[in-house]
Amino acid sequence: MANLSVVGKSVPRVDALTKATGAANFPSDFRVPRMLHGKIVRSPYAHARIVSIDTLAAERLPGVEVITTALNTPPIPLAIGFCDKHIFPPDLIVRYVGDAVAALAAETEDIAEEAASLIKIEYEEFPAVFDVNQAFEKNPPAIIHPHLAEYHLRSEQVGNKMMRDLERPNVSRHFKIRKGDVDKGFAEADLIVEDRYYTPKLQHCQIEPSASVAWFEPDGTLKIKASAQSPHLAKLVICHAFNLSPAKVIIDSPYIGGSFGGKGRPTTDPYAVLLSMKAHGKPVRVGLTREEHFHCANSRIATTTYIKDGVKKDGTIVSRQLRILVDTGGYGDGAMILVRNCAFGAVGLYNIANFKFDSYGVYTNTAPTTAFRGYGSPEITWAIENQMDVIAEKLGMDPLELRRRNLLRDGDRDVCGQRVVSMGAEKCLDKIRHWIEWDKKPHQEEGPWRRGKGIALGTKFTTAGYQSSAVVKVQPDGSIEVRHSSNEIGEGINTVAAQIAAESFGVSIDRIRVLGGDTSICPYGHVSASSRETFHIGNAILIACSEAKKDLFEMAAPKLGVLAQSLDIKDRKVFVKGQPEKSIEVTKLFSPSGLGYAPGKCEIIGKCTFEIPAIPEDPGTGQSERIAVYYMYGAEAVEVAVDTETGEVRILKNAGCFDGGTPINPKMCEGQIEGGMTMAFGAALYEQQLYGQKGELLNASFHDYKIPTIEDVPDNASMVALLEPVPQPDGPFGAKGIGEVCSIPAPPAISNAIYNAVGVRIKELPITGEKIVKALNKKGNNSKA
Amino acid sequence: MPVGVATAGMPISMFFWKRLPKFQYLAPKTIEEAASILGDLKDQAKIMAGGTDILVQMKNREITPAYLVGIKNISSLDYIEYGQNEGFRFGALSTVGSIENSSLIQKKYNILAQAVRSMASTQIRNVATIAGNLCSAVPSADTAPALLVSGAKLKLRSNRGIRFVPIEEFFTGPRQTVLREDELLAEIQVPDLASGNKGVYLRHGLRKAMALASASVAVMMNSEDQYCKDIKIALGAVAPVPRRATGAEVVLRGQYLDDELIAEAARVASEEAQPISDIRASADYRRELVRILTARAIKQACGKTKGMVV
Amino acid sequence: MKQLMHFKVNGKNYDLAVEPNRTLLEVLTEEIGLTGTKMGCNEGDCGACTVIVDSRAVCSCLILAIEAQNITIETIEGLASAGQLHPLQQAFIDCGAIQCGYCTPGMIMAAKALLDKNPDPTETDSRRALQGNLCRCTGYVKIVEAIMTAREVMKGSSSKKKL
Repeated sequence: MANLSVVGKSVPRVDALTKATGAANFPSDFRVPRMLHGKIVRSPYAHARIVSIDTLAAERLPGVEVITTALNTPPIPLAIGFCDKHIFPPDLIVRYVGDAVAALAAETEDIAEEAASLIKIEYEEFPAVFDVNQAFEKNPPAIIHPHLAEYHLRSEQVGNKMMRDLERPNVSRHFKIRKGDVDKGFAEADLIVEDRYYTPKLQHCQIEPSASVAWFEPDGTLKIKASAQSPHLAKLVICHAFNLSPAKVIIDSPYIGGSFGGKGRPTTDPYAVLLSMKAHGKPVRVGLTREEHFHCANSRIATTTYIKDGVKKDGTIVSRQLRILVDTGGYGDGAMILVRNCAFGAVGLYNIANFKFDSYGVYTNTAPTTAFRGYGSPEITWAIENQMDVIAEKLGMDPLELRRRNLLRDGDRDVCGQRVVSMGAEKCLDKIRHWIEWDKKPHQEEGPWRRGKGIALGTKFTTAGYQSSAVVKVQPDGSIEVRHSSNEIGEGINTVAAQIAAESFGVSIDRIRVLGGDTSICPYGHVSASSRETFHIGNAILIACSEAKKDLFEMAAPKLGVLAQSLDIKDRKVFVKGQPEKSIEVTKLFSPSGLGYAPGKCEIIGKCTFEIPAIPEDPGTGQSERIAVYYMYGAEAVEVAVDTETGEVRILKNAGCFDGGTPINPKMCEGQIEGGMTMAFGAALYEQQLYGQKGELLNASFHDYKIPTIEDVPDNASMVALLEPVPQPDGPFGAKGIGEVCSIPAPPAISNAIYNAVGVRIKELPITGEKIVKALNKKGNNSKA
Repeated sequence: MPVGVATAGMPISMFFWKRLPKFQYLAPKTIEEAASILGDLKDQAKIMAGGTDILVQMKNREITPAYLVGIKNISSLDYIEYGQNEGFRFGALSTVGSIENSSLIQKKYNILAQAVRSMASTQIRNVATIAGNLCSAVPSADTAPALLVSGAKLKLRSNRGIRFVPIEEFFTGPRQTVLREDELLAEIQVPDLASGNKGVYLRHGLRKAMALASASVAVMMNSEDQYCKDIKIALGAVAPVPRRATGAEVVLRGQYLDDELIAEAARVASEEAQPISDIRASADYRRELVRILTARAIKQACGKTKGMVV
Repeated sequence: MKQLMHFKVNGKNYDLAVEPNRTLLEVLTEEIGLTGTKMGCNEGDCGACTVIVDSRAVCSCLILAIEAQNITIETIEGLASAGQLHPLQQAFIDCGAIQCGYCTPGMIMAAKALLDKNPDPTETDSRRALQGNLCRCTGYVKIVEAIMTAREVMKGSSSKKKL
């Protein structure tokens, strides 16, 4: 990868200026004159039937324009394919505290709130089930979706053949991987290690809560400022929900204030559209309060993982069995794919001869769930990377050596049968081992604090079988416009797109204009998820650029008296390879020069939809040669201090080294890593959604749900992001992705460090001081030399 | 907070409030005027100083006063005064931030500086008042334990006159004080600390910044060569009100401070706590924290250990 | 019942009829149209709505509009002057301290309030000043770097002025 001018450089982000000045417009900033304000009325019960809704008093309030309820609204589905969620439940059954039952729009937000308080709803309460183990039973205390079978029948899901467990009425999906014979492996093993790990429900806590504005233009076109992680998917959902033609729906959301998976499923768009429709097309804004966002904007799945390993004396893991109960909440269509995809956190790293994996999606009467950064890999890695240290201790082996012994290498086949390529885990491990001075024991001081070091690995895959697109236009002055299928949720796709296009055309980055998030001009593509953007959009752009260049070269060739194949382009000049003085300015290829059209071609446009097709896995064994486009890898090392009396944990030093393939923008990759590691600190030490006896969320505020503040991370000198790229052969300039893998290893690394410090291992996240103190007291040993 | 608590059979509405409720806003120019307004409106009105607590309560519809009496612009109420014999006087509008930044307080009343440093965030401390923190009467109010170990007196004013209440008697329950409906807290008085006194405030929260205390301990001790001449201990967040741990004080007063005695005092303090279990911590853990923090605070106050730095 | 209120924002005067139960955040973003200040939680727990009022960083969601009259209010939109970015804005851009950008205005204003008062903060001082500003994207590393960078630039230019 020699002599690149823009790619591989840490250029400033192309959207940084607009964000630094406060000019960037986010969906929650968007306002139009005479906009109506929507409010959603919700169920206070976790499981109940709506008996009656009285809206009379609300209707009479001056300024109220529209009221629509579960009783007078037809079923409006909120997903395509497998659909368990509608705008209001068509069967009038509410399934979690916060389930939407009515919506209204009024001239001001004050009036909307007053009207909402006047709506009186009677419910008939049902028994609810909050514990995933109870919900999983063959005879659970409550059946949450009695018509689950019909949802599956209506599903058009192709390739991911979902398997139900017919004996368990709350199980929405059962995913399996089978390789070899685990029981035979256990019989051959010298050591069996078995354990259970737990991760709670988390909330994404994007700093921008969800908000959408929808309105109909006079010609009937629906426009939406959507709080959407994918403008095109959001549009599909709306078209499907309201039976609208895609030609008449435009979503325009260039910037989103953070998503992390949470805004991939609609929480405000459909309500804004419904209310606008009923208000004869007037613009309606529906914005969630932060408390509402905690309750209703979808959470991360809670997981209970059973792990059993059979290990040889030399450290070879000969047999691994995993069973994971995925708590998908009252609605889980956003989590359905997750029940399958979480498996690959267990697939990507280790070479294991006998492997058995079962994951079950289980409904409970708690908050609905959806994708959350890592998509199941963090949850399963929590179990595996703790277990690895447990095994190492029992064998008297260095935990890094144990990992090294079992790592997959390039060319191996993973437990699903896919060949391993660009495997960077060992390089990351070596770099991190060196950084943390692994062989040096931490310095212990007088007093109650004890220090310890811990390391963990992580992996994440990018799923195959989804498309991204790009359209590249050469402007008459030689600058380039890139329209891509995604939108800027903060991860930096606009900058990556600009860098790749700039490199391809040999121009400086300020000659590139990137457009995203507007479905009227941006081509269709799948969501910015699965760490897939750089690879898929990057490749789409490269191919689109090459098509556009082809047109330019065809136009320039006769003017230069050469064949098109002998041409190249740089600094807005088409030139003959090897004879750079023989050139023509791009501007001269247009008529009028620098301003008008491209003779014979109208416009110079290249386009591409890029996909790596998946090979659907065998539904009985999970085997497929192509599930992932690639895997990303990383290692994280942490030094902690634990107060042996209060259990308080401080992170003293932290370094994460990640292989995301070639970094297009190293500084942006560092930023992703730093942010991912910090998010994972929250999961490790502070974050959990807490429920009361009636399924009500107890900590629905930043006050009570604690994400890391700037004072909860180590000082800059001690918080380090490292890159150890292993080029991906089919990635743009060798790039893969990095956004998720960096949020995966911290919790087990911290857990391993705490064990190293004080000899206790907390298996249920978050690791609170209280849990540590309890464990220490149980251990009867309050200090460790 | 959603509207209404679900009761079987009763029709209710649940949704999430964003706007403040409607109220009438009154802006008295003097404290006398404020007292007079309260005298007329009584429980229909709420005094608003910084507003960082009351506005959140109102947004959640925990309270919906018909009148807000804003005293923010009565600049004569914003003072921190000190006199050799009079001690400290904090006006009703002295902000937590101004106390934090006051070199006078850092030098002469350091335990209060420690307490306010631990509160909330920079933005909140810039606006929140010490008076507001006390009147909110949340069991975890950080300024309370420090004042409890300092013999503070609160000056309450109404249009009927003035009365003084020792801080030990001010709190009556979670979010409840002896303030009558026509009274406002006008001033906080703290006697000058005798030399030889050292104060330590320690607290434990779920996260370093922006966290309510799960448990907090304030110790004010007058000791010399490990002999305890006098000591006051107060506990926060572990009882319905911030309170003194007088039983623990008795263990140490007039004694030599050895580790065993300190441990015994800490144990007694943990038994004097009346903690609840909530989303932040269990009652058992809170008791444990009281024991640990009390021992640590005493040791720091008598110089056996320096502050904790990791 | 709306009341006529007078606001001074970024050096400009605004006379508006506003309900008494409006917060400063609502007036800035909904009435005046300065949407750079953001709502994150509306309860003072996230700092996204931070503005500078009489030189102090405050959460505008917890300031009543009626109490914000005739005081100096600075928002993110007022930072750049005559086409020149404030050193903090430039540093945030150069150091890569911006990702989704939603917390950025609040962060920059909190940092500005710090540097205006203390031109030579340590890293610890900077973290303390921003302890009430939540970010979910960056891990804060480059935000701290940006403040340290801006600190040097502002010290440098102020010493230039002395010459």
